[in-house]
Amino acid sequence: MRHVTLVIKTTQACNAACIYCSSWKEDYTEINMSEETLRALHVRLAEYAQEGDLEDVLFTWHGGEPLLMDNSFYYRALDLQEELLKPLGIKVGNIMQSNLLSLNEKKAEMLVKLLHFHDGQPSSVGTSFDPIPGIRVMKHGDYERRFREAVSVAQEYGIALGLVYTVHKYSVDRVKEIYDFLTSEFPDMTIRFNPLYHEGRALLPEGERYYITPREWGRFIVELHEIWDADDKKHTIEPFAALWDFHQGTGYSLDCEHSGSCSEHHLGIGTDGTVYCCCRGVDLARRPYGNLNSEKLASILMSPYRVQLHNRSIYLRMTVCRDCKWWRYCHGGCPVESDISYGDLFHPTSWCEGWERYFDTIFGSPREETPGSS
Amino acid sequence: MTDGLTRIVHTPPSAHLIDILPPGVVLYGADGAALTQALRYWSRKVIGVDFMGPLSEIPPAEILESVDVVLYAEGEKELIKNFHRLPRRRVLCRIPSGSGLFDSIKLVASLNIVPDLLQNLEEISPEQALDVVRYYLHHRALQVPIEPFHSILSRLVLSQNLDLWEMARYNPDHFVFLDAEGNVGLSYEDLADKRFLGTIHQDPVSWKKSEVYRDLSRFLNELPQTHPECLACPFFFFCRGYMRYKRGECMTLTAVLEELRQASVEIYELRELFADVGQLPAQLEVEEGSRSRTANPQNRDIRDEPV
Repeated sequence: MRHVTLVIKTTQACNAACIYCSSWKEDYTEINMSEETLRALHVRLAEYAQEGDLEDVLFTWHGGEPLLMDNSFYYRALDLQEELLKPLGIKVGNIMQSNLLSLNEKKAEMLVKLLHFHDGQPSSVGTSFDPIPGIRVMKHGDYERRFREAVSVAQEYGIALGLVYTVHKYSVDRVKEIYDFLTSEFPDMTIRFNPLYHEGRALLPEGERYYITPREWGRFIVELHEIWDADDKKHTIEPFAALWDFHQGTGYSLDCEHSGSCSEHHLGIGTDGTVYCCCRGVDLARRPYGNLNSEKLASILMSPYRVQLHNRSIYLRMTVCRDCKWWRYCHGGCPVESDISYGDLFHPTSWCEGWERYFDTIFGSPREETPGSS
Repeated sequence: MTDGLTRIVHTPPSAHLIDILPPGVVLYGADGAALTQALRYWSRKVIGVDFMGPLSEIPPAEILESVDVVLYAEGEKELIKNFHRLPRRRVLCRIPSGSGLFDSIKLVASLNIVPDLLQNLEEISPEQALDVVRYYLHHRALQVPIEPFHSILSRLVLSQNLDLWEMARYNPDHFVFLDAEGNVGLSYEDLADKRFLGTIHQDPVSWKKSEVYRDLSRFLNELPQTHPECLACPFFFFCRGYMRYKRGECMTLTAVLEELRQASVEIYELRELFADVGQLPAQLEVEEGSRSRTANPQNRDIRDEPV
């Protein structure tokens, strides 16, 4: 694993109660990542680099709500990166996913020091917002007011932001409204649209009314793409931008959901040091690779669960996805989503129908294959 | 064949069959005279010969020069005695398992013939197979590849696609086998067992309704439930369940693949080390061109596939 993206759940605590929270659980075994586990993570990365081949690591600080952790946690992480990783020539980057609700000046100062890519350029914080009331809810306070205050603080400190929007039953038929709102309120942000996954808090009885079907998802993303296209693709909307570049042949990098190779570069780390395939894998907590506190990373990476993930693409292409003309654009979709929907990795995503509709309507036919493009 | 797919068709040298086939035919059989006649008449369609008869009756070498040749020789004595009849172009020889396997391989290789163990791999013990792999990897005087090890190693080193179903020619989209009556099977074994997909006169789309095809599809579709160990295997990228389907066992293949995987890592590291120099030491060069094509005649040349 030369290039790795880690999603690290620093805490399970959160100051919000969003209806679709994938991280939410009824009870937690370990709320916050300990300093021992944080150190173990860096030690294992250094070990792995010394024994093999590690060029760069992107730390994605996640949660729960990662800004609820004290700043000292992140300063400690920076110290460990300096002490253990950079001397080995490993390039290090840091980004964060946060609701921003607890962002203040002290936290912003910390983020300015923390957030940078491998090349030293400033990176960003991914956040989320929904204009529809009752979807993203602050436990104590007014979500929208606090969020807008936090965005101002971020802008004041020059912290770049990206936005994730989760599509649900109350937004699936309001495509133009949502697009216009998000792009006018947050014009400089990359905006990513995801369907609501049936996990976490969405599994509660009151969560069911927010579910959308694959057909609704397909209709949403087709309409959204058409609106984006009519707007001259002014804003960066994902995953459309990556798919569009792929279709044009100007880019070959699909997002993790469509790449079919997420297991090669991604790992999710739980608060207790348990390693999973990715962030969603941590939330699902179903197929652990191992634990950093007791095992070397090299051994963890040989987990049969990881091997299964790697084999998933090959298997789907031999069987159920064999005749699908959109295979190179999709690779069966997110394996964790398949695991959530079917309890089975070896099944294409349940959003297949929606994506097929999108590909058929927007692209018509796949781009001809060129060397290195698949 | 009307489903738009290009297939290599293995057929006896029967005029009524070859006449209706598109180019891409492999003739098979034990009757040297019949094969010779067919090769002369349909030279533009024929790309290979699987010769199963006594080598004393093999078609003339000058006719075989333009096609890929696979031999099913009885033994070393036959090979030595009839070596002069073989084309100069390298041929591949299926080696039966049994005592004296290693000696057979060494002798065949010394005659500039490529030994091939793929069909009998699981009949050989892992220890025996590893002896052969290590001979292939390290014996300096070896002048020919040993299959399937060479094809596997080549593709591992070049990070190219590997598929045992393809290598074993067991994929109805790309390979079919005919008997004299025009019945279609997935392999010579299936023909012998009368496990037919249909006939050559049918639209290939209808073959998918045969019990043989449905059996294969069912095996693949149910693999996660019936053989979860396959999908947790680090070598699934190559085997894809073939060994479970055909042989039930895969210990020898697993041992061989692990050995070749380690070798490919060493080669890869050496390539990196010598990248500035521009050339590997001669012993480590992966031969290109005719050797790789002949070594796996029914597969595309590895240089045809982009890295």
